This record gives sequence, structure tokens and C-alpha cells, in this order.
Amino acid sequence: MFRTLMLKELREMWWLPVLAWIVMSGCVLYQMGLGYCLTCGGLYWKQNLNSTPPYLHPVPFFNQDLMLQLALVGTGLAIVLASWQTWGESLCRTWNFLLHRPVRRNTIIRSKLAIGLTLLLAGTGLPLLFYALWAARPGNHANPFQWWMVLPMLRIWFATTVIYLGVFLCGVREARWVGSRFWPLVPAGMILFVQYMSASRNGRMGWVFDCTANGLVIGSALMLLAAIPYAARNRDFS
Amino acid sequence: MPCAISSYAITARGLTKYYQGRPVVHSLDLHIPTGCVYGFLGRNGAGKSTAIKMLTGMVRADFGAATLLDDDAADLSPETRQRVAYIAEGHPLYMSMTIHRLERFMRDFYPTWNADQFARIIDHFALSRRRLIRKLSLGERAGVSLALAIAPDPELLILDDPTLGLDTAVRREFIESMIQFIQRPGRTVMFSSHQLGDVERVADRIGIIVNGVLRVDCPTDHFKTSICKLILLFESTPRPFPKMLGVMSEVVKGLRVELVIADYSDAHQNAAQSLDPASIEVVEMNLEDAFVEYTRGPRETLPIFSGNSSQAMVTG
Repeated sequence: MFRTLMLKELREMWWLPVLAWIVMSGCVLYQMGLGYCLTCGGLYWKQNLNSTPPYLHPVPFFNQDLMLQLALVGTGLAIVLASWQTWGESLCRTWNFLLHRPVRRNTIIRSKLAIGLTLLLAGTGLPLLFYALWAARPGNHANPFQWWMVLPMLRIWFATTVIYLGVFLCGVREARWVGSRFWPLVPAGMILFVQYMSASRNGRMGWVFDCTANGLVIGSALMLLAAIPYAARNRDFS
Repeated sequence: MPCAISSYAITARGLTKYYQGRPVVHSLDLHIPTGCVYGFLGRNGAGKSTAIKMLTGMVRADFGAATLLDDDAADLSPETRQRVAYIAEGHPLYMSMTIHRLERFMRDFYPTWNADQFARIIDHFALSRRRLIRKLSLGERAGVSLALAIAPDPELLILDDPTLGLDTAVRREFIESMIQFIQRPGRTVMFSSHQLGDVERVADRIGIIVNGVLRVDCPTDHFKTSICKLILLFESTPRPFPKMLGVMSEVVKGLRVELVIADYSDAHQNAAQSLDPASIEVVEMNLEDAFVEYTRGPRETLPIFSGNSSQAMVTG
């Protein structure tokens, strides 16, 4: 039954991470020099150039632009995914239909979270994995590359899960008015910002700050994972 | 079909729900016997849907408790949910799925899934399984809802205003399919509706909820016979009818006085005769008229009907 519920979620939302994957892949390909090649190709064709200057690749994963792009695309995907899974059910009034299936309410919520988190991490993670594999292969760029250099990007990548879980909690919890409904988003957004600042400075803010940021992300993700089933169990689906 | 009283499919004791400090359902006591078809009636906003949602565990009761097939309604086990079908108001289904996809989704949950039964109902509504739910009319969606509800062969069927918004033909088809379900022994149906004609056709027993309070709970025929209209014709200006328990409304039209009385008795007849009218006529009412008169009367003076499935008691 868990599999059935997950397949239902997957069928409804597969296209969202595909969109994010396309956008992130474009960002990664740009870092790999595709934009430069296209520009040079255009110049070559237009101005009849015999040769173009070599492209200077940025140091892989030590790039502020890509970090910001990852944070923005990841946040956007997290918001849309979680909203679709929660408010989507409310708007179509299908919560009652879904919750009356003969499974525990926790199982239904867990299946939603499992698929939502997988799609979120896959949507933005696969292009990063491709970039890392490309960067690790000698001869592709004139920069040093060690696998630990991927870590700052991974920290931002994982921190988007806090946004996803925060929006999910907003979607399943009860609130008297719209302002209080969205309050879990405030700490979630702040935690992502702190993690982004920490990761993008690449250790220059000190290890205490970095560890605190990582702890905040993991701690808040765990707290949200515990709070969501509780909120779903104790709310009215009227 | 008479209700068996061997056991109760649904029970509720003191079920209460407040929204913004206002009791939407107040101290609801229900005992619906197994095998009974129970029509749950009330005007818009009376609390029917909230009561049904509390019974199915979708809404938490502030006070009181309920059971469905002897299981706590607030936390129904998956095993009990397998035996209970619930159709929410408006037939909400996944719009992006086809009928076929929806059936595949559903049958994974039910070991007792009856594919032939599902096919019969879908064919009855002349639907192709390849059609998307979002392309179906409300009537067609109601057919799919009913097929999905009945295919697992449930023991208890709870329907929240299932014929709302359906045209007469579809409504009739829906009711016919429901009757087929009811004909199997031991099946209990609880449904709310504003279509009193449908209720009169299929319900053994009715409950009427007024402003969140269950005011009537008795066999359908008993309710119909309990409410009657008294027409008094006078030769001169009529005197007002004495204030008595059970008199729900009094309309004076010239020399004609029309009274609607709950639980008409000799006391009412004697009171009418004491006014010395030229004629007294007692008119029986159908369920719709009786319901309308009952729910629009001065509610605080209405009698409360209660009792088990075999008899109804009228109390002041």
C-alpha cells in the first residue's frame, strides 16, 4: 500500500523535478563553458574568426553564482512540491478521499514526504552529480579538484529540505488566519539563509559558525519530520 | 426493509463540535442498527456534514465519542476502514487520473475488491474507463464515486449528500445503484440528503438535525404520521388556537385556520373542537412537507423524537 501511495504521488508530480532538473542542468552547463562556446560559435560564424581565446573554467563548486542558483531553484522546487502535495489536496477537496483509504494516516503522510524529498533532492542533485563527475575527470578543466570541494554545495542542496518540510507543515497544520499558518516558514527561511552564508564563505566564518549552521539544518529537519505527522493526526479535514 | 436491532453499525454519544465558540453539532446521540438505511436530514448549515465527518474520523469531536462497526471513530483502524465506504460531498476524486487508473489505485487497498461489481456500475452509467475524471460531469463523477465505494463490498456505506447537484435522471440511476447495494443483507447505509423524495423511497429510519441538535430519530413512517396538518373552517372570525405542546405553526386565512401539529393526539382534537369550527379536516403530509414544516417551526418548542428501531417515543 505504501508503494501504491508513493506511485500516486510520483505520477502527480514527476514533471516538477524535471523542470528543476532542466533549469539546474542549464546552470551547470553554463559553468562548464557551454555558454562561452555558444557565444564564440556565434562570433566565429558572424565575424569569420579563425580562432577563439580559450575558456577559463571557474574552479568547480567554488562558484558563488552556482550556489545562489542552487539555493533559488531548490527553494522554488521545495515550495511548489510541498504546496502541491498539501494545498493541492485541500483545493481539490481530496483529503477526505485519500484519508479514508484503509491505511494509517501516518503512512499516507510518510509516503508523501518520502516522494517529495526524493524528488526535491533528485531534481537539483542530479545535475550537481553530473558536474562533479565531469570535474573529477582529468583533462576537462585546468583547475584542481578534490571531492571535498563539493561539500559547500551539498550543504545548500540539503538545506532546501528544510524549506520543503516547512511548507509541508504549513500545508497540513491548522491555523486561524493566514499569517499564523505560515510561521514555520520564517525559521526555515532563516536557516537556509544562514547555511547559504556559511557555505558560500567556504570556511571563512569559522568552524563554529559552520557547525552551528549544519546543526540547525539537521535539527530543524528532524523536528519538522516529527511535527508534520503530529499536525496531520490532530487536525480537522473538514 | 426493517432495521435489525441485533447490533449497531454506528453509535454516537454526546458528540459535540464547536467552531469559533459556536456548537455546530451539539450532544449528538445516534444508534443506527446494522442493516438499516438511515436518512440524515437537516437544512443547510444544520451540522450534517460535520457530524458525518466526525463519524468518519475526518474531524475531531470536542466532546463525546462515536463508534463505527464497534471501532472508535476518532481513530479507525485500517481493518475497519476496509469495511466502511465513505463518499464525501461533491464526489471529490483525483482529477488527473482516468477511471481505469483510479480503479487500479483503489483496488490495491482492498483484498475484497470486486472488479465485476465495479464494471457493472461503470457500465450502468455508460462510462469509458479511459476517460479522465476532470472531463466527467458531476453526475458521471457520482457514478464513479459510487462504483469505487461499492466495489470493495463494504458493510457500511456513508454518503454525504450524494445526489447534490445531480439531474433527476442521474439521481434516479444513483439511487437505483444504491438500492441494489442495500438489497444484500447486513448492509447499513447512512446518507444525508436534501432530496426528501429519495429519502422517503429508501430510508427505513430518519434523523433530523436542527441547529446542530438531533431533534428527530425514528422510523420514516412514524415521522410522517406524527406530523399532520389540521384545517379548521369557521363561519365567523376564528378564535386563536390554545397554546399546546406540539403545535408548530398556525396560519389564519380569513375563516380558515391551518395548524401543523407534531404527534397529533386527542388533546389536540379536543382543543380544536372547543373552538367550535364548522369543519375539521386532518391532512396527512408527505415527508418533504412534514420536514419543511418541522424545521421551520419555533424550534425551542418542538418535541424531541427518540427511540429504537422498532418504535419511536415522543417526549416533550
